[in-house]
Amino acid sequence: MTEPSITRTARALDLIPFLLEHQGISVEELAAEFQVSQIQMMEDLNLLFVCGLPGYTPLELIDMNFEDGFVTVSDPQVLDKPRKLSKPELTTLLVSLEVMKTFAKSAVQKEIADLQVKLQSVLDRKPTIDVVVKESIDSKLEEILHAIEKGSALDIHYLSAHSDKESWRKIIPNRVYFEGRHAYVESWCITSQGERVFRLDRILELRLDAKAYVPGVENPDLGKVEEISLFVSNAARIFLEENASIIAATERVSNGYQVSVSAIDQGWLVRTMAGFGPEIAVIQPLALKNALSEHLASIRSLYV
Amino acid sequence: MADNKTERLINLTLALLATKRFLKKSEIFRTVQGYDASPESMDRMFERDKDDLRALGIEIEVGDLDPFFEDEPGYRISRNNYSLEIPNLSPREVAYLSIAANFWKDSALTPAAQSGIRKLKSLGIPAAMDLTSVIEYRFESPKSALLEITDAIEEFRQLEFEYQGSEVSKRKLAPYRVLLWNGFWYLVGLDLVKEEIRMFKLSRVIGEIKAVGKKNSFSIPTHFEVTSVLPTFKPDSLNTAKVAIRKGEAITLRSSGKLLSQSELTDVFEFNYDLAASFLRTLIWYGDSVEILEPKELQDQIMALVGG
Repeated sequence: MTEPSITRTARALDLIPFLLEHQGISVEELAAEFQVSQIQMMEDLNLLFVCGLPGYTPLELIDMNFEDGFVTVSDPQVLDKPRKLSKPELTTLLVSLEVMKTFAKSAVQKEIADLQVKLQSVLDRKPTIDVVVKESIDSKLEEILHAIEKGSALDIHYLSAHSDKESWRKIIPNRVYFEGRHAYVESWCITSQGERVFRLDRILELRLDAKAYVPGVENPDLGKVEEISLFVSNAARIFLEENASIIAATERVSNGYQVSVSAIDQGWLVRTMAGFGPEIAVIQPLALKNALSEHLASIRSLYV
Repeated sequence: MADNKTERLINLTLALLATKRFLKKSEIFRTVQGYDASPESMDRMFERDKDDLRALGIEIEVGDLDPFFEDEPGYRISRNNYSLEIPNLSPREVAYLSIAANFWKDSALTPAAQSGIRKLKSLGIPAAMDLTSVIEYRFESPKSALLEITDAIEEFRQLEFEYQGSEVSKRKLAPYRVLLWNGFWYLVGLDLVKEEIRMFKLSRVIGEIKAVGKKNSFSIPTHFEVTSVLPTFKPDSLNTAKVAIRKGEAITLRSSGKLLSQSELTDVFEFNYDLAASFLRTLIWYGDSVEILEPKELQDQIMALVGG
């Protein structure tokens, strides 16, 4: 066993107050909650079983039972309250609340702000973290969240990300996520019979559809996935940072990076790469390389 | 194998928590299980144990036993200092904290978030079950350096690190705030070499961020607002461009400009922009649907980018 004894002590001290509020929990669940193996959890319980107050008669020991695989504590001695939050714990929770507040509806924002003040005042911490975002919850997002809760479908007027074309689609939204500077809506698209992701700021208009729909299942035959390989110069590093979710692998080469990109919409990729001019080049496939050249040439033709 | 050290640390914590008066070292050695060695090694053991408990954030109070007979100090742990008390924490608040604690999957902050939420679950307040989050946050995971930085900000200690800007350089700054901006983490502070407020992308920091020098070595301006240092559109230094957009195309672009005139095939818009590079990237995204009419320099720049 190489675990430092202070790590183990901390866990043991936190176990008893946790158990008092979760009497009868199984050793399996308890181990999962504390993220240790069941063997380690049994050792911790066996250790606590022999700890107690000076005198160390049965009256002074922590009294607990876990023989049948379910844990109950009948006498915690003085360990009836959880320890106060450590600095890292508190900082982490405050950061998370700050992020959550930024993206919450206004009524919830107020509740979270009150909670932050409560934590900060009791624990004597000052705010040190700010969250600033471009897209916060707007009325569109609120309607989408409402549709997710109700399981309803929406008609959306959407501006395609790869062709600059608008269309009306019927979707059943599943989840909203924030990534980089945008919010996205993961959905089952009834119109195209597949799972699709829509960027919130490209949804121009939406209407609730009260009829019930059953989401289908994505066709598992995704076709063959072509491997995309790019050269990205140091000057275009922001491309990597802003599109981290599509970057499968990065390798440092002179003056920049060789990058593998996971299968995504190639029309979107061409338009995005083009903005970096000679700082991004397609290594393969050839079709993508040609598409990029064509896009650049079409712009060139405007100015000659 | 029995873990004697852990057992002793637990017993010591319990004994010091249970006592109302200060316990003398000799009393501790006599009554707390686990102290059985030569007097010198017991002394060393006890010193290390106190350090270990303090490292866990447990405050050990030291007091004189008796003002008239100053023989040796006594020790105890105050229950109020030891335990977590958050008055009037509601089930909704516990639920918010649980959702918040689960943000950072597989990041350096995960262990602290998890152990923090376990303690809150031990307060005996049920979490409101109706609050579940359908929102996910896929931001850059904060590094563990975040915790060191927030400590340094609280203690007003300077930070030193190497930074990948246009070239790698060593930076020294008085940290003011940590900022999550558009999905990325930044450190904002007074650059002590350049003597101005700067922001640094945390992902471009190379190696460790080290706190250096004494505490309270600077102060943060009372009305400091992080939004004041973000790149913004300054009305007096704003650039303007005239752009022709084909009918019915580049819909999102249109909403950020001002319509000047319309003709049969195109609409002419005026746009304000700050950084030419990012404005050009936006225009290029739309391909030949948009054409820069003015200024000439911007036309030259777009031609340079598209290889004209």
